Amino acid sequence: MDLLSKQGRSSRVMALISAVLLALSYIFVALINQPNIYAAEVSSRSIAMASTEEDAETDYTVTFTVEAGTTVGAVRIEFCDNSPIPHTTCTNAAVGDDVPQVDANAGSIVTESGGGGAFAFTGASAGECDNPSLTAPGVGDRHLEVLCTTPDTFAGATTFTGTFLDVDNPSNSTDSPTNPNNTFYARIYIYTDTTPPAVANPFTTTEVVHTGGIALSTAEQLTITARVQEVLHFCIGTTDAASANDCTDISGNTVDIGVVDSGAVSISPVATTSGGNNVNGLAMIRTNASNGVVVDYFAEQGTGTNHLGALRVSGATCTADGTPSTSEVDQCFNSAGTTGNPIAAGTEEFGLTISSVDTTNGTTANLVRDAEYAGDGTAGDLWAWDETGTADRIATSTTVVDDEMLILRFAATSAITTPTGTYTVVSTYIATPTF
Amino acid sequence: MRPRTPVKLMLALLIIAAPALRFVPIYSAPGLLNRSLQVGTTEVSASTTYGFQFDITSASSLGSIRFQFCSNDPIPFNPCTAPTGFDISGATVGAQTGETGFTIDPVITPNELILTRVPTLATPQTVTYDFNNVINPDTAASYFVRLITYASADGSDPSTEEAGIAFAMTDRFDVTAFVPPFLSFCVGLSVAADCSSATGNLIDLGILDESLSSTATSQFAGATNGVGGLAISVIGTTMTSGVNTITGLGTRSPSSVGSSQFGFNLRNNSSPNVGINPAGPGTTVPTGDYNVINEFTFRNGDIIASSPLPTNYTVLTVSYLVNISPSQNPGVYTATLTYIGTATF
Repeated sequence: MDLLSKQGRSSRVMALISAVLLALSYIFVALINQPNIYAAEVSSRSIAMASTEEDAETDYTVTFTVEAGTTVGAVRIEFCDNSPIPHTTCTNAAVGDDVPQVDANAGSIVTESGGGGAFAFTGASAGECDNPSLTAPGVGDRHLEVLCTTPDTFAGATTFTGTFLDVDNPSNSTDSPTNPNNTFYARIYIYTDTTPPAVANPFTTTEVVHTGGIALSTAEQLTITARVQEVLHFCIGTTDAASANDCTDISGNTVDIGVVDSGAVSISPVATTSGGNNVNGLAMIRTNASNGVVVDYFAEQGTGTNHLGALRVSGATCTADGTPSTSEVDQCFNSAGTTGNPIAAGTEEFGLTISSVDTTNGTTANLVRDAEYAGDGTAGDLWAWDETGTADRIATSTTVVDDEMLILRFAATSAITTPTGTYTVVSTYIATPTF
Repeated sequence: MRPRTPVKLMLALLIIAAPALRFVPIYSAPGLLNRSLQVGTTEVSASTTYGFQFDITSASSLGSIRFQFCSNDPIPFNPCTAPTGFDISGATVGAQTGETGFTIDPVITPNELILTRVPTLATPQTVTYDFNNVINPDTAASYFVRLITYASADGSDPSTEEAGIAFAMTDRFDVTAFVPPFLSFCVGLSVAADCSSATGNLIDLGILDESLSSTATSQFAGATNGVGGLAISVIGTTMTSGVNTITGLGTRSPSSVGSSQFGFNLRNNSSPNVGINPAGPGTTVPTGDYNVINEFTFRNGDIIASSPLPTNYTVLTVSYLVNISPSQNPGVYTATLTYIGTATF
């Protein structure tokens, strides 16, 4: 009984072992018939997006390396929203929404940078998949395919590089409507045949020899704003201390042209030995107004009667003889007017000219003198003076001005009959930029 | 769950940039292009006009425009430092073009003014607004205006457009000159038109004849910038020889041959034929009795020519007349005359 019992138990063990071995053999056969989901990975793989802005039509540069001895007939790049792992189910909400759109339904269809055959396997020997080319994507495709002319086996490790033009980034419109920072994936499949099988999901073909996954992302565009505030620095003076190249070292507000007689024209700067104070007028401007700046002046109207804006003796009654005046016996100098003209010694006249624009303090040379004030500072050139009290333009710029300085020179000559006295005129200068 | 590395990276960048970003001013609705401010005068503390011009670019409701004057910066919504001395609270609206119909909102401060109207759909266009009676800041420097438009009539809602303008106050500019007193006066038998030369100081009439008039001439010229003009007088005596004299013509008289006469005038005479009329650009002319042709006078101290205002050079020719009577005592008769030019400055 015991013996029989032992024999029975042994048979059952053997049967069990046999059954296990049989089951394992089925499992092994089943396993070796599965797709090669453990195919070697392509290395050094990347997709460089020219722009990560969501919904932008941009370029993708794909790079990967296949190992030596690999036979390559075609490359497929498939975009998925859920996972980069080849041979697993690839999902997405809609092409163009959470994966890139490659067809022509939105913008341009994806094409090959450099034209057909421009893609290349760097390091490949001649005849090893020369001129791989992009197959035009079909409508609704979420993948791209690059085909060799014939399947070729690479003798050494070979790197593929190709730029796909006009790929439409995911819009994230339903997948991530409030956050443009959204990840999606690309899967790279290398086939031994030049006619890869139709896309299946999950992908199960045995022709795949290499695979690889890549993660990509659209991203928020960072907007950086800054404001350059409006600037106008405008100063009037007579002395530039040259301690700074701006208005901070401009001082003084009186130009004394000294003793004026009929034998010569007194032109600033007039030496102290001739009764002057040896200075010119200065008007310095800095503005960032993109539409430029205009500089006007007007003669303050003094006290007295007639020609109140002339170089005059304060309180004097001058001849009412038109504007500008012509009388040489009253205590108002005849003004040069607004057309610009020479001043002749002995013929009573007072005028202003801008003999130059000093651009050495800044970086621009944009101020242009008005024609009537564009004299060279000699008596025989242009002088003007508007005594009316109405603003008259003396310089203009159509763009920004960086510490340009107008050199204002004043000149006067008396007639024999010009009455003695101390003559003065006050003028105000206005810079008006347009921002 | 997807990797969120990009999001984390962005957050990290934002955290790093936060100290800088927090100082970025709010500037949500830029606009108002081609903007300028024409100030009537840049004299500090002056009451003047301010003329604004800018382009409205938003076709939306426009009910108010805020003008905020600051000394610190032109950036709307930043804290504003009011310019010292500046006061727009007494301003009035002058001309307005483009979007019109605005009045000044009663809520006004020295540095802030709101133009208000019933909100109306604005047309993108250039607009101008002039203000009178604006008191300039009291210091020469740069200043700023912030312009902000609103849909509401009182500027209480978010802005529609905004921008800044810079303007400047400057010192005024004095030009001074001095014209010194001037008098030029010359006397001689002959003088140049501008007194650059004068020759001779002696007239010899030769032997006087009771049947003939004796004549001679001398000249003087002068110019001055004296505002009161120029007066030329003569000092001297009639022709004398010891105690004998030839009668000076105290009363203007024509020549009378055979009578004792000494006198002169400053004109071109025909009877006798002597003299030249005044010549030159000046305004000096013979006075009274010395300005009558063919009549002669001599009174010691007389002003014989004058100009009531500054005068250029005038050459005046003195025409002397001497007649003697048959009873004229013999002798050498002499008269010394001094001509004096006096300018009044």
